[in-house]
Amino acid sequence: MSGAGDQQPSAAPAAAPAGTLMVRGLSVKRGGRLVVGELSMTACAGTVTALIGPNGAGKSSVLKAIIGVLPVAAGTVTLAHEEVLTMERRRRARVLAYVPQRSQLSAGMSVLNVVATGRFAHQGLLARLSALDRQAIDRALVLVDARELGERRFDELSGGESQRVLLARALATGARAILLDEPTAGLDIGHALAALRLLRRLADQGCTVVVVLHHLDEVRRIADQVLLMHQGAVLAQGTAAEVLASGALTQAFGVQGDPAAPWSFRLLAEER
Amino acid sequence: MRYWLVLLLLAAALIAGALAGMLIGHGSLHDLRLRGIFLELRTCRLAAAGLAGAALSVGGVLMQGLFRNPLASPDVLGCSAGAHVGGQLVLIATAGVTGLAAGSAPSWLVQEMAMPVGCLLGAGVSLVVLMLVAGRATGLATLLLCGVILSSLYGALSAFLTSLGQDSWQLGRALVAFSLGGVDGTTPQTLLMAVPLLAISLIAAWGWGRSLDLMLAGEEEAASLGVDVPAVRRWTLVWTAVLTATAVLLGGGVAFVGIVVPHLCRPLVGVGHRALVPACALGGAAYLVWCDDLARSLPATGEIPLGVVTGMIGAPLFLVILMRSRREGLA
Repeated sequence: MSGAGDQQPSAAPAAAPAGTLMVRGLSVKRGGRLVVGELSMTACAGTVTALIGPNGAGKSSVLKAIIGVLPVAAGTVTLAHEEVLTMERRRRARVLAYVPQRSQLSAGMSVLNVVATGRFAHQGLLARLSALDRQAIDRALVLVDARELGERRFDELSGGESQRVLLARALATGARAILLDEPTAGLDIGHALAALRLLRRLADQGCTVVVVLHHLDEVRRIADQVLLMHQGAVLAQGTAAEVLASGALTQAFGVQGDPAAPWSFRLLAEER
Repeated sequence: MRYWLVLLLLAAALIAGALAGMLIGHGSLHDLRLRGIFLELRTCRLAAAGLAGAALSVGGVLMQGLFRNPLASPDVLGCSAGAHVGGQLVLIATAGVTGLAAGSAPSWLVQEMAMPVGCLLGAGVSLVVLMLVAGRATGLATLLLCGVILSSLYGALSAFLTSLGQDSWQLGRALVAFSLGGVDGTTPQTLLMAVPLLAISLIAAWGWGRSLDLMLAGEEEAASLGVDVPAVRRWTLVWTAVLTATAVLLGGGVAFVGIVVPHLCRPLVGVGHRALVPACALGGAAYLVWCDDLARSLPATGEIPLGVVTGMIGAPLFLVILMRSRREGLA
């Protein structure tokens, strides 16, 4: 396991395997306030990297900065040795997909059309769906087990269903790197486990998966690498077992207990 | 298939409205000496009504897409109020220069050509202010508030100009008639100016339709899918301003078209903007042509202003649509 002090700007990008997402010295400001400072991480293809930390630690901001939604104050992001932050926006959308915690989509769009928006970056001026686009949409719906939802309205779906559809939209982009912001938030345990299994399967197929998670048992189930964030910086980094066993959890969350038994956690204030 | 059927029905409604409009009016077509003049006048006003209806409806589609708010209308940007004040200023200026009563217009300043320019300039001033606000990368709410402020400012200016014009009976009457909206007296020159503006705006609105579909999920999601959000904002504002200015120069102040027609069309063709733009262009044209027919056929001493008819039909119609969509959980 490595601590925050070990985050040196790294190794030459050429040393990284193909499909690797490398973040170096990333700083993000929101409203003039630094929400992420000098963050570095490497997410390899075929692995799941989990970002954990208390609310406001800067986890979502990291994802949004990588996809170009939030302005980056400093740092670089490369995917397969190619700079992401200066990449043409359509190209970036083709290689890097993002799944928000929940979509703001409220208009009565059908599920099929929502997933089809994932092909936007592949389409020309007329934006007609090609046979390849249809194939990608169909494959994405099958992968998330949402083919039967195709004709339903997106705004009438349950939380679990809409999360699957958002994931299908991300898969339809054809990107090999997927960033997900709390994909299990609001899901029951069955749907949450199914979502995690799907992410694992995507990683096993060679995708680079970076996911923000809150539940430590989920982190333990799925993550190959964990970054514990606190106040915009990485407090601890390593395998799930290493990070969860470290004392950094206490510092980040202000709780004490056994990470293997989350019900044993107590607020530090109570202990005193 | 269903989509093309809807377009066909809307086109049929437009043609039926236009044919009815050719027959309605104070003058009789039986008089062979005047038939040609009446037909020309009615063709011009029907064309103006159709074009203004299409412009306002598609402007509504753009605004509702950009702001992700079904209650947004082309008026919210303040561009139509700006165009209105621009038109009023031209009325006053040309009355002052030419002497409206005397009717001795100098050749370089023909009022019917100056009016479109005034409307476009008025809308342009609003657009410049909006673009400055949009360029500061602020939220859509700020943009909306800016539009509301501009509308209020232009409303006050318009009232001031109307009060100024009351010294001359003819000018005062012209200013009030312009405010109430109407397509009577539209000339071929005005149409010639409006047609290219509308054609370019409609093509552009259709072109941006796919990006606006993605914007329905919010600007962050749209950006993550490859949409150039600042460009969509900028160009949607530009084309809405051109559409509203075109509508004002053709029909003055005509209310509710930009809200009602998109709401009527969405259940028929869906929420996709590329489907909505042609449907709303046809639907808006048909709607305003029928409203103009009604304005001319209702019993009154003279003609009921078109803006009054669209407001009186549009407001209750919109209420019905709103209640129904809320009941069905659509809004």
